[in-house]
Amino acid sequence: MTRRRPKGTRPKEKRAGTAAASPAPSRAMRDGWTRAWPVAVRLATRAAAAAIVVVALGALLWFAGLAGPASLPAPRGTPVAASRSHDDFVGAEPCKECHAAQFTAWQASTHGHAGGDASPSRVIAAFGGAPIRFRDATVTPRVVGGRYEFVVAQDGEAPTVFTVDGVIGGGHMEGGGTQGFVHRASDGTMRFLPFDWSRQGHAWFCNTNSRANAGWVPITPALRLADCGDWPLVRVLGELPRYANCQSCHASQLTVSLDTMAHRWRTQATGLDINCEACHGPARRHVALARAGAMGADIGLEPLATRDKDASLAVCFQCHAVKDRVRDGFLSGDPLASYYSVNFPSLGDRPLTADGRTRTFAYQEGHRFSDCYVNGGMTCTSCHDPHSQTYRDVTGTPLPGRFDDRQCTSCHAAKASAPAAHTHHAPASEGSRCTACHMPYLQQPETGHGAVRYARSDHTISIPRPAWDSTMGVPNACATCHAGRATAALESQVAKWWGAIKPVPAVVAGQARVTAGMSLDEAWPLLLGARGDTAGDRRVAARFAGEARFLEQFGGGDALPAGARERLAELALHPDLDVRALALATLHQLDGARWSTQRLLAHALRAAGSDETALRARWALALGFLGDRSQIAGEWERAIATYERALAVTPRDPRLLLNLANALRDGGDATRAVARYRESLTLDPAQPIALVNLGIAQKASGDTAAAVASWERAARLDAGEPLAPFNLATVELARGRTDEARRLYETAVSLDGSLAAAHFQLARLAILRGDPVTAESSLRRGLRFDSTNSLAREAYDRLRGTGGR
Amino acid sequence: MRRRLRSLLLLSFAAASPHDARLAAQPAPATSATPLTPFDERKARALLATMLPCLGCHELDGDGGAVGPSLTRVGDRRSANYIRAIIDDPQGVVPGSAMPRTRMDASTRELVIALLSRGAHGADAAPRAAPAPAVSAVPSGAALYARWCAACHGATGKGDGPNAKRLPVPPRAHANAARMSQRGDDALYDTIAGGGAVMGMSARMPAFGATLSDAELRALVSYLRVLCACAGPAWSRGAP
Repeated sequence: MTRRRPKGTRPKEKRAGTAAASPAPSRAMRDGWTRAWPVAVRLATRAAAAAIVVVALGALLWFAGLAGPASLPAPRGTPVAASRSHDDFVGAEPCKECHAAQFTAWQASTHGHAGGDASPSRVIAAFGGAPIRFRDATVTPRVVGGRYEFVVAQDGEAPTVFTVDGVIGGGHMEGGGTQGFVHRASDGTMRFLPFDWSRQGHAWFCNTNSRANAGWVPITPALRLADCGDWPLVRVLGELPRYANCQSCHASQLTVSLDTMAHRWRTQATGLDINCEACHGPARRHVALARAGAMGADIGLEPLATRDKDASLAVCFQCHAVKDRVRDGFLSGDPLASYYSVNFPSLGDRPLTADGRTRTFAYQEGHRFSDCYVNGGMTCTSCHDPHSQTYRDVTGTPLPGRFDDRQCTSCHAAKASAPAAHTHHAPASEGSRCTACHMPYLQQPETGHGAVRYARSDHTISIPRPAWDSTMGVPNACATCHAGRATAALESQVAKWWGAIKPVPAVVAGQARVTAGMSLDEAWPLLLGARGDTAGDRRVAARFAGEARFLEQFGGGDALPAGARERLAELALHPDLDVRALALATLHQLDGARWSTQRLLAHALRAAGSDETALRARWALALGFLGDRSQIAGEWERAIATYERALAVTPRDPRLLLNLANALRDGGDATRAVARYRESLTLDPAQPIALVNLGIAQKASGDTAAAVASWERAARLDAGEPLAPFNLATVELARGRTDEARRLYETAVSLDGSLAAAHFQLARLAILRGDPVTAESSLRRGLRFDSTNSLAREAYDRLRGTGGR
Repeated sequence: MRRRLRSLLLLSFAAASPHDARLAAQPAPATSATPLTPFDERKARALLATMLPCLGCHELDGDGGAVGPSLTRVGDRRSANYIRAIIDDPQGVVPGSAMPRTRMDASTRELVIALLSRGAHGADAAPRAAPAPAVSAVPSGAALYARWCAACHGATGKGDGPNAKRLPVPPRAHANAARMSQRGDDALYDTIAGGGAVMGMSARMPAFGATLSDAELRALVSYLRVLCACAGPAWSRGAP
């Protein structure tokens, strides 16, 4: 339900020239001895002595990291194009021919009911015609002739009807179930309506985080429609290159791609439910083999039950984890690590606390911090039946409910033999349930503080530690029932009942000890672990989080203590790809000038083998994150240097080239920026936003004709790209062609009604032609999204004061 | 060493002959295992190799232990129903057997039975449950250890049982105080009860939770503490 911007892929969009006349903040898109042998025997001894000196000096220099530089080797080939396509998927129906029991279980499951067309059996929200009232709009959800729709009537505007072309979710979740709705937009995308339904709250709500920043709030007459971040309809079902969007999992085999021939987006999905192939992978060949009676040891699918712990988790983490994308084009069954990293969100976004609990919005991936996973064999399917999403014990015995203790006691048998001695709560009471204390439902912080209930069970399977929990900023499980008691009192009670509690692992506790102002020398052992620390290294997710925090806190520096360097060199050999990549990126960023480090980095790539592409992508992702951070801070030179460093790792990454170009342009080097934009577009021509930015750089370098040509190309490539007509309008306005400028601004606002600067320009044009009524309307529309624009506010008030005259 | 292993085998299957005689009196099985496709065989072998404890004690095509009889051509001797029965209730079929009950989901169980009984021409029927043994006092931890654990972990807990060299992961040396002092009693209990897989250890360590009583499991944990002459970490010992 949240929108995240991909790291290192920050295609900044900006308005050209005259936009400055209507001050509107630019919108960062979410987005590897010779020896001279003596000829004369008489000189042999002396020569040998000299040679020894040379060797010794060489060795000394080598170890001092001064023996000679080494450049990173070029990638050994480009990534292999995805071999799978939508044509390889058949949907769920053919599966039931042979797998009736599994099909029936799936059909009744939450995956089977995850979404689809709007129908009485699927829609749980109130579509009875009762209006949803905002302060400045009335929205009527209704059913007309079997068609579900929202009628949006904003004050002063003609009503607009949005048909419901897809239902997302069914309010299934125990801790707060929701249902959302999508509308097929004219540009070929499916876009979320900003009106979501809370099953438990039996109320409409919207997400205000990108606007009013108040979390998820019930819709009331105090709320403005524009306070909802998804108004106008901007949130797309699926991942776009410029957006990371968890909603790509609210459909099966969902892809959104720019059709450069049709000049619009192409949304493809097998269905809005979560089908068999979402876990099992593409089944067309399997079905063909089965129907032909040609199945041997190869049935066209691989068994999932034989997967080891991490490979099993990777099936579920296709969806059930916040991830960073390292490659486009994922389809169900593709090797997850080639496309996504589950750890990298800990760099920058930090959705989890140091101990893996939810800091912003995430929860199932917290499992990777649990002792059940780290020191046990627990996978998702240890408790969750993958077909029915019902519950079971570790031996596969079905259990009647989500709170059944046997999910835990089938492994923790010692606790089962004398439960009261462990729980200190009355048998069968709420407090005696395993999940009550170890998997409490906690409100997801990013959704707000509970105005709309959206609590999810703690999958780190934590031990209640009231004081530690407080340090982590996480409500402790005891307080979920004993709300009135102080943390100290709860901590005291825990100590009284259980004595010493299992200590927090050092790799986690170390992170908690690091403060913002702590010195690098003091912080690195806490964040990276001491040299030779293999115990902490087993906790991969926590180790990565410590590395990430190190890079966040010290990545802007230019020095690395020898101990930290040696520790990072150890981590650069870690078996986990993410941990390895982040260590390499950190060494590259902070110690890349040192020749020995350069050799280490080059060696890491040569030794990567089949992991090379995935390793490079992650390494560049980390550097891209640092580049973005410098770019946002206006530190152009540092941003440029960091993006160039990243490009040494992935030289043909069009998005890094785009970001480098943006930094060059913003740093004032329009000429080099233009060259980099062109390079990016050569590698990936389907980038309308790169063309928009190219045009801006061309205009900045004084080549308006080239700029116009770029923006016109952008508009042709994606007719739904609002910034192309917007920037073209500014040129027409400067040329005094007001009618053409007006037409283009109107096109821009029709594509993105939140483009306040365009509304203000339209108002300006209206005033110039003596049309105060239109001016007032345009100012009102612009002020909805940029209410702090004092000039526009003043003009609006003045116009209203004169009654539009 | 070899002699000791043989004696263990004899101990485990001491009652095999009379029991087989009783089986011969049963009617022919009405049903057998579901047909085994090549894919099923591949999957079943993968499950046995990596996920299930069976090969900890039994050998299958060269891989596995020698505590129990070989499974390589078990279908020549045993029917699907016999295999199903002994998986479900080993002591019920072979009183005194050292084979623990291994719980697994129904589809995995049937797949394993289908693999092991492929080509079966054994005419034995589903065996009748043997009479339950008389309830007696809980055996000593040492006796339990000798019966259930020593074949792999060694008679004195050094991880050097006669079956150890046949295992892909060396069995834990219970006499190793440094290692054993890092694990609480509950973790030891849970590993014995739940088996290696659920504890992130070798899947060939069986689960004894469906075979031994709580008192027997606790007696074993206590005996492990005798073998290592150590205690678990302080935090694992409960409130003072």
